[in-house]
Amino acid sequence: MLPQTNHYHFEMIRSELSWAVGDENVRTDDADKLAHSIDYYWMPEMWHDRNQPPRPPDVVVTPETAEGVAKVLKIANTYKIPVTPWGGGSGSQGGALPLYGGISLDTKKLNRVIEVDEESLTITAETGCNMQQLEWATEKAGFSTMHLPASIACATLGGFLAHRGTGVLSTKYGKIEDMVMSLEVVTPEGEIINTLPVPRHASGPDLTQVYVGSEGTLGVMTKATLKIHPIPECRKFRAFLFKDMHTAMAAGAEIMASRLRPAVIRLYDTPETAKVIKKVLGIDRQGSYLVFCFDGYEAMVDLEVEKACEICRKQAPEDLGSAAGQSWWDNRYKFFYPPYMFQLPQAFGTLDTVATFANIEKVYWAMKNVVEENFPEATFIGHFSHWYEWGAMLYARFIIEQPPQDPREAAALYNKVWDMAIRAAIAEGGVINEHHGVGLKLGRIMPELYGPAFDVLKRIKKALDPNGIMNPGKMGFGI
Amino acid sequence: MHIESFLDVINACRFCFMCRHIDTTASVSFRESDIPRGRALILDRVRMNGIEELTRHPDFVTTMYDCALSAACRYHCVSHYDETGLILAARRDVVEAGLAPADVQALADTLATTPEPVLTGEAGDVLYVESADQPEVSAAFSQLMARAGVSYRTLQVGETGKALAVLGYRALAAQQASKAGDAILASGCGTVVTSCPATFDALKNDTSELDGIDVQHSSTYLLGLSKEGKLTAGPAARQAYYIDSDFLRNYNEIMAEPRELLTASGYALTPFGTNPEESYGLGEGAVVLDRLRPALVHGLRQRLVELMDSPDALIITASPYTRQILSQWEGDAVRVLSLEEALLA
Repeated sequence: MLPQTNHYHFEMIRSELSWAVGDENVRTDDADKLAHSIDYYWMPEMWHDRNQPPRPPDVVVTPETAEGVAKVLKIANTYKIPVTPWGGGSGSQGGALPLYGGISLDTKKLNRVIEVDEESLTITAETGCNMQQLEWATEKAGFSTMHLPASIACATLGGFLAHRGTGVLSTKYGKIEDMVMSLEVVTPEGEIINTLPVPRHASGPDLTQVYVGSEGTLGVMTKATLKIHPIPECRKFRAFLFKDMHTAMAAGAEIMASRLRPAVIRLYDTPETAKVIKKVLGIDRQGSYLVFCFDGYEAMVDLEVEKACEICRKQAPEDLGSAAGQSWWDNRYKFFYPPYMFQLPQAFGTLDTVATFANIEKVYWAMKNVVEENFPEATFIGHFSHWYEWGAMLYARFIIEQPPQDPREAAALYNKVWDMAIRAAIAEGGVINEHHGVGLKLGRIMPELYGPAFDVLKRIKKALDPNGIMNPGKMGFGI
Repeated sequence: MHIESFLDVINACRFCFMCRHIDTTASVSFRESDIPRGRALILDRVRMNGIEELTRHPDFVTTMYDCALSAACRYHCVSHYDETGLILAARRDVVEAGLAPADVQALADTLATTPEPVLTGEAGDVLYVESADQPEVSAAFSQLMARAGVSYRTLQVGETGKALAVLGYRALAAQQASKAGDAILASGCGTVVTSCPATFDALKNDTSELDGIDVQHSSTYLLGLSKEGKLTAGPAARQAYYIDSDFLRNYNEIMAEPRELLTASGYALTPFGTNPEESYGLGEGAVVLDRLRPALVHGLRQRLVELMDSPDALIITASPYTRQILSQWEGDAVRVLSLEEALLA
C-alpha cells in the first residue's frame, strides 16, 4: 500500500511516477479512482449500491508505452506497491479490483494497431485497444478477428488475454488462447520480453500460454499478435426447439462428433428458453431452444447446414427455420443491455464451467440441484454456448430477486451459492470457470481444483513476482 | 435534485459498459470516469449522499462538464437510456446549488450578454436564423438561395439559450429562448431554416413557443429545393467525407438528408474512420466545449485528423462549430467545408 495520500512520502512516489510516465498519466482525482474501484463483479456493485465506501486505488497510472509500464513496475517493486492492471474494467470476477490500494495500471493508452500482415493473416496491436475498436480496424482492412463476444465494446484485448476470454464464434474460431500468436510482456520486475513469434513449435514450453489467463498476476501484457480471418462469403443460421435440454444436447454433441465445424451452437435450457429467449426474441414456447450457424463459402455452408439439420431432426424437434436463428444473431448483444440484463437489486452470477460430453449434463444437474435445493429463493437457468470436439461449456446463471439489504448478509449469501455450485461442478468433472476467469471471486477454490498442481502455479508466481506486487489477492495466490 | 428524475438511467448505466467504446471524451482522455458508467456511478453517489457529495469531491463536478454530450452513447444503446439528459440534469443541480466552477460561471456570464435579435430582408415566408460565428456558412446559404431564386429574411439571434441550457443555467436559457422565439414569431414567417444544428435542435425541441412553425435544418430545406430542380449539381464523383452532426444524427435522427443532398450535388461520400457510431463532432453536443475545454477539443481534433485516410481528403460537415474547429484551430491543416459551401463548390 502506498503511504497516506496526504503524506509527503506519497508525493515523493507520485513525483517518481510522473517522471516515469508524464504528469498527465498519474491521476489521483476522486472521480477516476471511484470508477477504478468497481468493475463488473456483482460484489463491488452491491457494495456501491448499499452505499458502502469503495476501495479505490491510491493512484491511477496510464503509461503510453511498454517502456512506461516497465518503469512503473520497477518503481512499484522498489517500494513494494501493489499494482493492479486495468483494461476495460469489465471483468465479472473482480480481477481488476485494487483490493490493496496502490497503483491501478490502466492500459488503455496502449492502444495502437501496429501491423496487419495480410500475407500471414495476423494483426499486431497493443493490449489496451478496446476490442470493438480493434475489430473495426481489422474490418477496415478487409478481415475480422472473429473474436466477437458480448463484451467486445467493454473490454480490451489485454483483458481478454488475461482471462482467457471467448467470443460467440469460438466453436469454429477458438477462444482467445487459440487466436493469439505471440505476446510482448512486461515482467513484474520491469523487463520487457517477447514470447516466440508462432504458437506451434517444438522450442520448449509455451511461454505465451503461461501469460494467457494469468489475470495480471505474472506481469503486464503490452502487445499481442492475433490471427485474423477473411470475411466469410456467408453466414447462415438455423434454430430448433427441442422438447427438452437432453435431446437438444444429444443433437449438439452429434454435430460436434460428426466433425462438422459450426461457428456457433447455442443451446438454452427450458427455463432460459422460457425466460430469456421469450424476453429478447419474443419466442414464447416451451422447450429447449438451439441455434447453430455455419460460415464460409456458400456451397460448403449449405451442405453443412443440411447435414446439421439432418442430425437435429433425429431428435424430432420443431424446426423454427433460419429467420429465428438470424434473429438470435441480430439480437445476440441485446441480452447484455439493461433492462434485458440482470441488474441490482437482483443478486446474480454466471456459474460458467466446461466439461466433456460424458459429464456436462451431470455437471448441469449437479449445479442446478445444489442451487435450487439449498437456495429456494434462487432461479437457475443455463445455456451451452461454446462447444468443442470433446464437450461443451455451460453458461449457467443464478438469480436471486431480493437478496438481503444488509451488504454483509448479501455477500455471505452470494458467496455461499458460488461455494456450493462450483464445487458441485468440480465433483462431476467441471472446472472453476470457462472464459470469465478466476479473479477475486473464485480464487479460494483454486487449490481444491488443482490439488498438488496448484503449488506449481504458486512457484511460478513467486519466481516471476518475488515481491508479490502484481494483482495481489487474486487467483488464490494470496498476498 | 433533478438527477432523481433520471433514476432509471442511473440504475441502468452505473454498472453497464456496453457503450464505453464510443464515448467522445473518453476517446481522448482515457479516463474511466469519462464514460457513461463512470458518470452514472458518480451521480449515484450524489443521489445517495446528497448534493454535498459534490462539495466533498469537486472533481465530480469537473467530470460532468468534461462530457461532450454527443449523445452517441444514447443513440447506440438498445434501450436508448438518456444519459445525455442525466448529465444535463446534473449540471442544473450543480448550478442551482451554487457549485458551478469558476470557468463555467465566467462563460455563462459572457453568454448571458447577448445582442438583441436583428431582422433583415424583404417580407417572405422563409426565415433564416443565423447564430453566432458562421459568416461563411451564411454567405454560402445566401448564394444558394439566390441561385434558387428564393427570397427570405434573416434573423441574427446571437444566442438561442442553447449554450446556457447545456451549462445548466436553465432560467437564463429560457429568457434567451423566449427572446429568440418572440423575434421569430414577430417575423411572421411560417418556415424557419437554420444551418446550425444546435440552433435547429433548440428551436425544434427546447421550446413549445414555435409550435405550428415549420423548423427545418438547412439540409432538409435545401434537399427540398434540390428535388424541385432549383439547385444545380456540381461535377460528378467528387470524393469527400461527410461527418454527421451530433445534433442532427444523435439528437434528431437526421442522417439521410445531408447525404442525399450531397450525393445529388455530385459528391461520392466515403465512410469516415472505422465505424459509423462514434461522434466526430468535436464536442458539438456540448455547444461551447471549445471554450470550456479547449485542450480536450484539441485532442478530439487531433484524433479526427489521425483517422483520416488521406490528409488531403475533403471533410464536409453540417455543423458550423465543427467546421470552425477544423478550419481555424492550430494543428494539421484540414480541408473542410460546410454543407452549404460544399454545394457551391
